[in-house]
Amino acid sequence: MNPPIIETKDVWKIYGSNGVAVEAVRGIDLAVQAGEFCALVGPSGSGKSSLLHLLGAMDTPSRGEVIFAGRLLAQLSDAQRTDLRAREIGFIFQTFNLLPMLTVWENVEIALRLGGVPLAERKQRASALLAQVGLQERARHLPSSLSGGERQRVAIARALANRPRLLLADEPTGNLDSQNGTDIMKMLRVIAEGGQTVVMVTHDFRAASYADRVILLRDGRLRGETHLEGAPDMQQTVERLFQLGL
Amino acid sequence: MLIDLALKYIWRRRGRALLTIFAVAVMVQLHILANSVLSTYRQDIQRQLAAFAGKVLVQRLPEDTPEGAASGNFVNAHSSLDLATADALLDLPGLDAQASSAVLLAPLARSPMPDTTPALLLVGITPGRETAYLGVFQSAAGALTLPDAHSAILGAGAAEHFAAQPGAQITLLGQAFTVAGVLEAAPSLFNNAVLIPLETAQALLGREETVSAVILTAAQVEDMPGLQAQLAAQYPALQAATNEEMLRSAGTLMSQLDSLSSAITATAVGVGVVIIMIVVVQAVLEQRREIGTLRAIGAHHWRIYSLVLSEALVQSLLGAVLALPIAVLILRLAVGWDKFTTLLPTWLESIGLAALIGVLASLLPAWQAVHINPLEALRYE
Amino acid sequence: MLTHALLGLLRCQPMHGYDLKHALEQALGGNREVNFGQIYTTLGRMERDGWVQVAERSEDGRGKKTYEITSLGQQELTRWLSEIAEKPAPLNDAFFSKLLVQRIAGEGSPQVMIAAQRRAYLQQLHAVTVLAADPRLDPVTRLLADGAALHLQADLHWLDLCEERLAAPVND
Ligand SMILES: Nc1ncnc2c1ncn2[C@@H]1O[C@H](COP(=O)(O)OP(=O)(O)O)[C@@H](O)[C@H]1O
Ligand SMILES: [Mg+2]
Repeated sequence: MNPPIIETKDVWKIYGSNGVAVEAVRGIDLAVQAGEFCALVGPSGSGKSSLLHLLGAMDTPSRGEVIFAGRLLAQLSDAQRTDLRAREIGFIFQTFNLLPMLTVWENVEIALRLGGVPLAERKQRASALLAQVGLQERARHLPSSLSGGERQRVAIARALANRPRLLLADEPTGNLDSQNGTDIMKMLRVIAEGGQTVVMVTHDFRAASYADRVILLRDGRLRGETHLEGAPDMQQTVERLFQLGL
Repeated sequence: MLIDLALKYIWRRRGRALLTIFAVAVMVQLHILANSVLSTYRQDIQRQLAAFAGKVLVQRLPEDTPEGAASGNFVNAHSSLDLATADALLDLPGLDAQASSAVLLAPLARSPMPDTTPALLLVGITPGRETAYLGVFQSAAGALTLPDAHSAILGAGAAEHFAAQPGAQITLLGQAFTVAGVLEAAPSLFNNAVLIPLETAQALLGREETVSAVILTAAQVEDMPGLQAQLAAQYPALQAATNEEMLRSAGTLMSQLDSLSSAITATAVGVGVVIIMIVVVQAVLEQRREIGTLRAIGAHHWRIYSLVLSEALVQSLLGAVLALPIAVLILRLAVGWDKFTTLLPTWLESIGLAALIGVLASLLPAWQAVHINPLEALRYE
Repeated sequence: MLTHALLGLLRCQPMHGYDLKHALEQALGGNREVNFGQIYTTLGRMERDGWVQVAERSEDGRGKKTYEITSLGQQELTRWLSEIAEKPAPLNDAFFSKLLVQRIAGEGSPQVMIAAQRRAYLQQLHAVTVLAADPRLDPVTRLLADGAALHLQADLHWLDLCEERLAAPVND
């Protein structure tokens, strides 16, 4: 069996603020294999974001190890971790975090630039990525003129720009209405079915139900997980919906 | 590089950026102004010294004259020699008699700058020996000789002051003079001079028994050391200044001028750095989240540094570009100075200065920006 | 509910059994087939109770009956619509009953039961979420799907609570 794309071993994150230590992540062992679509579900404050930041090489654990594709993150320099974030890990934020001064197209292009892609290729790839998320018509718009759902699609294009081995998403539907949220989940589902490894964090069971593997998180600990396989049978679902009353 | 992003950030706060650029421009033009004025002055001193090559200026300064006080103006109006001494000096052997003369000097109008040649300088000189003072300089109009007791030779600046051409009448200390000739443009000591016969000057100034100094010119350049030695032996109480000595003492003045100019430049740089630093520190504060996002999606430290440096440099360099027209305007309007011989090189130099300002000013904000954590992107939700 | 749906349809106009079946299917968004026999027996019971009556009998050999609503039927429809709809009492939750019996009988493990239940709920939730997002869906079914999704989410949260109170975590 190949080594997992991302793996944690008894990882802890303890925040110390004015003498009060907050144990946000408490000894998590997690391994995500290539191609998995994994959802971490837990209520607000259960340490989901903290864990995702550790997985994304954005933060360092207080204890324990995070291993990305066989590489111990703690042994990498800051520059190497930055490279990892640029090229191998794509991050989708709850608040989109697009650069407001840049157009939609430039927001994607800048990620390619950070990934070291040459100019000519950047131009062509940024447009292709926008087409992939169905926003080629909005390329010249500023993020402020886009709806939340569209902004998150730009953020997805940006996260995918350098063909990362791991796509991380922190509450990608958290700031969206249910229609836009479902569109984003469908898009992530399609991306995952294309072989992309995705780890998503959410408190929304509906979003989580799109994943193959749902891991429950509570108080900084894992509380068990569920594998969901196969597409639902829609006809059967419709039948069931009407069963109650008729 | 993230220069495009830096430009957009500057554009986002263009009002503030404009004020910053203007403030830097004012600082850089201060440097240009000081440098232009001082180096023009410096050139003037050097040309005057060159005009004195091969000459000895003999003066007797009052006892209380501080050391080196005569440095800038080689000719000290407080110096006084009695006529007998002056005649004895002029009788020394080995002199070019035509180019040696006693002179009586009196400022007619002060210069706006202290320790410099007066704006108008009255020079009483023995007729026929005008070259003792005028040296190598040529006539622009008329003759450079004094034909009678009430004739005058004007430097170009003095001619402009009186708006007089050869043949015109001018009035000095209540006495009418006919302009005999006008000198070509020359350093201020000559430019501002009004030459009249020595005796007329003595009568006008009520100094029949004294002169200010004696200018001696050696017949042969190689006679100079002998002449100096003789002067030192026979007249220990007198100050004999050759062009080399003057150069040396002028060096002191020039280094003072240089320090002054450096101090002004340092002040300009210091204030420029502080202004840009304040603006860029504030900008970084406002961009924390975006910088955090850039870090989170894989921007290296050097990219963040280049972003902040670009923001500082663009503003400081635009300031330098704007500084030239401001400096020209101020020189034209306020000082009325129209000899900008050194303005262009000074301006090019100030572009470099602006680059230095930008780099120095970006150090602190860049240090702050580089330390922004990727997690910063996720705060302020 | 079928009874009152038929009363509602007959209140608009008299209809025979076959028309009622079609009208009902259309009202349900055209996704579901309604059993004709069920309609037939319900109509018979309603006629017996005096809520509907036969308005017309066709003259062809098959004797198709056209029904119309009576004033008694109209009264019943009005009463039913204004009555508050009751949900099954919370204690009637089927999974809760199983947990209860597991505790009494001491057989099996609540953790395993909860994990299996969670998985089923998540799968159902996924199904109704995908369904609700289908743009071709008729509004009636979408409303039902969204409602079901909300119920399932509540059930999943409740499962969390059960697990927290009754059991330590387990992986399936
Ligand atoms: N930077 C921080 N400093 C101190 N405490 C923090 C910090 N970030 C998160 N926490 C705390 O850690 C816990 C887990 O937070 P978080 O990982 O954001 O949870 P979630 O994403 O599941 O809502 C919370 O109690 C939160 O207050
Ligand atoms: Mg969170």
